Amino acid sequence: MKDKNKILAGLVIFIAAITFPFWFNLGKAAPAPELVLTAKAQAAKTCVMSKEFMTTNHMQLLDVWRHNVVRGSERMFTNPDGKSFDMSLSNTCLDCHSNKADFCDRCHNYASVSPYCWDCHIDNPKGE
Amino acid sequence: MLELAVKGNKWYWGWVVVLLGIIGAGFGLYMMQLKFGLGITGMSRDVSWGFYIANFTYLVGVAAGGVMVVLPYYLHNYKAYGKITILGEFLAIASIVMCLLFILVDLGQPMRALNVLIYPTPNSVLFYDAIVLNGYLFLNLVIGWNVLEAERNGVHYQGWLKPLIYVSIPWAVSIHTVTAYLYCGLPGRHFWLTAILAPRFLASAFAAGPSLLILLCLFIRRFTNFDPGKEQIQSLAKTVAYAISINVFFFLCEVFVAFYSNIPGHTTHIKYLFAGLHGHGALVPWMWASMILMAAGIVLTVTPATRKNETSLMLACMVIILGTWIDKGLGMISGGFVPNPMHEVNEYAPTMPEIGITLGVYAIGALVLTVLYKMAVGVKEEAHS
Amino acid sequence: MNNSRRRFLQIAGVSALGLGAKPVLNAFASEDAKGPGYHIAKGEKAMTAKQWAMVIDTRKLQTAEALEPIIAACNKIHNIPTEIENKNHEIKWIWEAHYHNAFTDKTNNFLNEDVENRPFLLLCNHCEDPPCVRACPTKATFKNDNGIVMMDFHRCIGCRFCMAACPFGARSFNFRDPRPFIKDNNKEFPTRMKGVLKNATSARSGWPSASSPPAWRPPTVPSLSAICTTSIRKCGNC
Repeated sequence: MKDKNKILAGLVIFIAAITFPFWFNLGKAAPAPELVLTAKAQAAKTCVMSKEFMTTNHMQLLDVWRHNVVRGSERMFTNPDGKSFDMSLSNTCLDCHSNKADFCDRCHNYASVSPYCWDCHIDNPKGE
Repeated sequence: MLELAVKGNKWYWGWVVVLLGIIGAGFGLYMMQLKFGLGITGMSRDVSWGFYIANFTYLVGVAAGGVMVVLPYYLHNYKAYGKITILGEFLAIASIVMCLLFILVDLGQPMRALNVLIYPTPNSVLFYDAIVLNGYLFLNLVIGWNVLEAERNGVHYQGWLKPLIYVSIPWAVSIHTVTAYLYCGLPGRHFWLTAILAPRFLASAFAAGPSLLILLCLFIRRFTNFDPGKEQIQSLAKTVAYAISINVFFFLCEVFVAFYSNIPGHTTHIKYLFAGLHGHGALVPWMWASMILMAAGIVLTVTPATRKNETSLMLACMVIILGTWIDKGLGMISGGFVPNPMHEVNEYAPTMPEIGITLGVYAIGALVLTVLYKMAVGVKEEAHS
Repeated sequence: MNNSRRRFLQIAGVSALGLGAKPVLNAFASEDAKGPGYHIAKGEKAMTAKQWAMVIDTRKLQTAEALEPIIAACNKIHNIPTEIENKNHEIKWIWEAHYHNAFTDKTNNFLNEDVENRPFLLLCNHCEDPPCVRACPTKATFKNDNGIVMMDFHRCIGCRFCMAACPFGARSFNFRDPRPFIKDNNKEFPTRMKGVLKNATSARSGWPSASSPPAWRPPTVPSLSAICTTSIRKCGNC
């Protein structure tokens, strides 16, 4: 073990390098984003499911929607309150949430995720 | 054994650096393709597979060709090949790596490639192709590595390898059969819609693979202290002679069926390739060159004098590799798509970025082959010194 | 619906295995008894069929001008990029073809001139046993309950096996992002992303398809059937 010092030095450098992002951002946590609701979304009061459910599970719900619509020809969503919706990202979700930049993007940027929904679906379909 | 691959002279490292340079350039172009889409290639609505899939098909053949040394050694106990089976297996590994990369660069949404496994679809030939190609890669890695390591340690290879070796022989046939089935089961593509496509692919594979192996053997003898052996090279040359003759024979069978029956769907593709159709004939000179090269290959390998002379044999191998590459790479894929099912002629030619990415993939294959052969030759040199 | 709940749990389960397991597990715990509590079904007005079919009365479409509004309507509703100049990248859902190209094996020297010179509409045939579905390695192209050959753009890997398999040349591929080449977006219908394939889905517009009960059809866009008010196009169940 005559290279003990070299190995130790190497290990220290390695650990310092891979933990660099943590050191660098220490104490500088970005504030959680504030989402802006459109007037239409505010008026509706509740989304297709409760706010809590949507916050945590909208991605899974959207995946269920797209799966059932595309592959199962099922387009009618009835929520626990018995209210029905057309399962359509473009025409139901984005109809209320027509402010992609202030609603979708803020959180997605914060969480550093880039869903490819808008590669195909056009945001703000009504052009409001 | 990897340590053998990091000890080399300046030529070895120079070659590695050149390959890394080409890989880097190819990768850059691939980034461009990812950003823009496959529109940077010459492919179109009519010719929807191009250079990538053509080279993929050719290299599946090269990979399968490796079995031409494995089979005589393990099934017929042809001892002479014991020395070079590892070269066949390692060539197969490098080829399969290139095949998989060609499939990957051909995908419009490569990040979703694993969907093939997430949603397994047994009615799609591509599903089986994924299985056989990855399986063959795995088999050759396990077999090649362990047999070589055993040789290095001066012991007999492990007993459990034997069944894998036996499985690998029909498996080699399967990779090219399944690859042919990708094409020959498609309605509306009459050029491919022929039962002889898989045999034809195999014939050209068993000509091209061993030809490349002969060239590699000659190279190894010239530049290293390991001699793959004169007898081995001559035996391979006989395999090549048979295979290239059968390949041309199969092609002539196709020509007979198409033109004697005179069914338009069958003749138009051959007419397009060899004479041009409605004034489009970009591939005509290539196809005739391919025929001349393959014919020259037959003459050179069948004639004992030119087969036994290693200089003319080397030439024969080169013309056969080139001839079969044009035949299978350029002609087979484009020829199947032109004219399209509506009898419209829209030709295909690869673009510069497409060729660059292709070269990048070949460079990765060459790098894998270089490292593997460096190890194999290193072990052989140790054993024989 | 049992099915969708199972799928939800599958997805949640897979997510739970990954990062951020805690919030998902929390969501699980709170819903474990009843599930998310929603219900997914076909719409009440959904129409079903074993195999939808469409008949085009070619006698009423004698000229290219007569085809033009039909093609234009399809292109508009489905956001087809019509302004792509490079012919290699062309996207075609419904297009005009000469008799010789539409019926390649039914040509001879003494055809009815009127028929021979009439333009024909080509589009996806929605085959009973579609070769594209057979070839697709991910079931991204599939035949739905109503016999429509559907395309799941979310799943397509872009291998283009379906293009090679289709004997009618009905498949197109997005060789590049199509959005800049779409004239006049129909914002209520998605465009496509680069690297995926497409056929004329027919699932939304003219077809009385289960996936689009008339009540839910985008009201502002004239669909094919609205344009072809005459008996040129008829849909029905076989």
